[in-house]
Amino acid sequence: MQHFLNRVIYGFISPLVRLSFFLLLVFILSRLALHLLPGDPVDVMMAEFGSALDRQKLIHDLKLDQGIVASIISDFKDHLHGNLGRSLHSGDPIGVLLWPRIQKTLLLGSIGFLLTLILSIFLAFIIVNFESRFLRQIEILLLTLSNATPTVWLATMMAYLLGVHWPIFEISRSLGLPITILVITHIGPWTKLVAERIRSDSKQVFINAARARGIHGARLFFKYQFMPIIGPLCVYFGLQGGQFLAGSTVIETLFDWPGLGSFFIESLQKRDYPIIQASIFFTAAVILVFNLLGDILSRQLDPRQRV
Amino acid sequence: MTLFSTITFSERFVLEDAFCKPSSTHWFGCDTFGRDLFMMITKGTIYSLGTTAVISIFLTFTALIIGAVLAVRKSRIITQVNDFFIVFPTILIALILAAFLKSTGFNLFFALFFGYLPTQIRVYQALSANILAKDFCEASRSLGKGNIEIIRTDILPFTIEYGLVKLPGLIGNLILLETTLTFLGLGGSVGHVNLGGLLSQARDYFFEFPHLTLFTGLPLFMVVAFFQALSERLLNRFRLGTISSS
Repeated sequence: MQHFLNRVIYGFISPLVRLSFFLLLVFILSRLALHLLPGDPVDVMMAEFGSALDRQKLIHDLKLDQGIVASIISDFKDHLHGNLGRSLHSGDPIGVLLWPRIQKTLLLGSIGFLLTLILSIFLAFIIVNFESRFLRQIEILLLTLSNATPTVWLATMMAYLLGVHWPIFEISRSLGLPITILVITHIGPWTKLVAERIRSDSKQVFINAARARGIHGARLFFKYQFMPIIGPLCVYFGLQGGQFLAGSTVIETLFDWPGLGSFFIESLQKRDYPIIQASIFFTAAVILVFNLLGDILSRQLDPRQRV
Repeated sequence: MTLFSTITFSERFVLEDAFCKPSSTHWFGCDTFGRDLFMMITKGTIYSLGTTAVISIFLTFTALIIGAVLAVRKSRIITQVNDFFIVFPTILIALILAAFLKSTGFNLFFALFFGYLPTQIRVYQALSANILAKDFCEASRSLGKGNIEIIRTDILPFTIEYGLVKLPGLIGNLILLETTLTFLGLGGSVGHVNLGGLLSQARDYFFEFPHLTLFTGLPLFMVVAFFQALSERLLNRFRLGTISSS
């Protein structure tokens, strides 16, 4: 019973408490940013959008006429009642605008994430088990392609190649091209990481013993090479969930995918601060949840992490 | 020669040459205003390289000093706060900073600097902690050296060497981030040619004139790949991977 309670507390409740604390910190920081960063945000908006905006109304809508602490507490109370505020430009409730966008981003992100994960594990399996100079070069090429290629350029070139020249995917508002770009930009480092971890552990005695007993191929890879490293990999991929989301921010904009990322960029360009603050909060929430899931999975799948 | 030509190159508009294809006169063709694309890209690359090199140097030296102090003082609170910021992707932090500031060159510097700072601090903190665990640092402590003395004589010589070797890789990463921010219109000085702006222009015409996008992005890819490969080579050459891993 004690053991079960310890597992529940340290495995689930403690991370949830930490998650709530960090979300509160993100909420406060996103509100503080408006007050504390250099320059007057209202001046920035007026400079960019001209006299069409009512200065006093903007100051009131952004709660800049209240003290910092009072405006944060007032915002927090509104959020607890489900009122996320209104867009400065359209006047629409932010909750209504945001929820469909979050769903679209989660759809794109989760399919891309799973596909990249499966492909990188498969490629690592090939590279480690059929070790050769050619495959090492492929590994380095994938890494260079992922790390050195500007996403904005790659997206445009892929749109031309796979959308126009060989029309395999639709260019805008479809999943094909965004997922392709997400996979290409992440597969290199992920494959290298899995392959390096397996290589560094492959000199372990139990792996040689398994080989001596006649175990080879996929069974050797998954049971004796992959499973021992799954704990650290879960933590790493939990963190990578955030990188994925950040990558999809730019890709959604390029391919007109109506997700949270493109909404965030639009609101940045329009300086719609209530939407920016809400987008920051929900983006942070998704990143921290991914992080938490990685930690929880790591403890559940690797018994050594629970000690 | 190219550098001199770039300095003397004037961005005059020759609208009759707009969108012209690559030829012996214009190696990469011309952009939307008839300007030679090769010169524009060279100018933009030099500007990006200059900006990111300056940011990288400031970033590296700030991070290695803060990292060394955190390793020696073992401040849990500051480390936890820094770890909190590391969870967030660099581009997101840079986008958020760019959002709340005006689109100027200095604010782009600010966004790139503070976007990468948490990760760099963590790297140098881990490196400094590794160095602190070595025998010669233990010997320094037992000889009565203070924290500042230990940082100056025992930690910084190693971390500065590591920082200089990793500098090219950092420049490559910053160029990519700077290109993304300027592509989205969130930074960059007015009047300066930047690669993100050129890519953004080229993208508007990529169906009719795909050569604009190809020739704008290819040199950028080559520059970034070069800097990352250089950093890896230097790391292997000086065997500095052993400091960070042992």
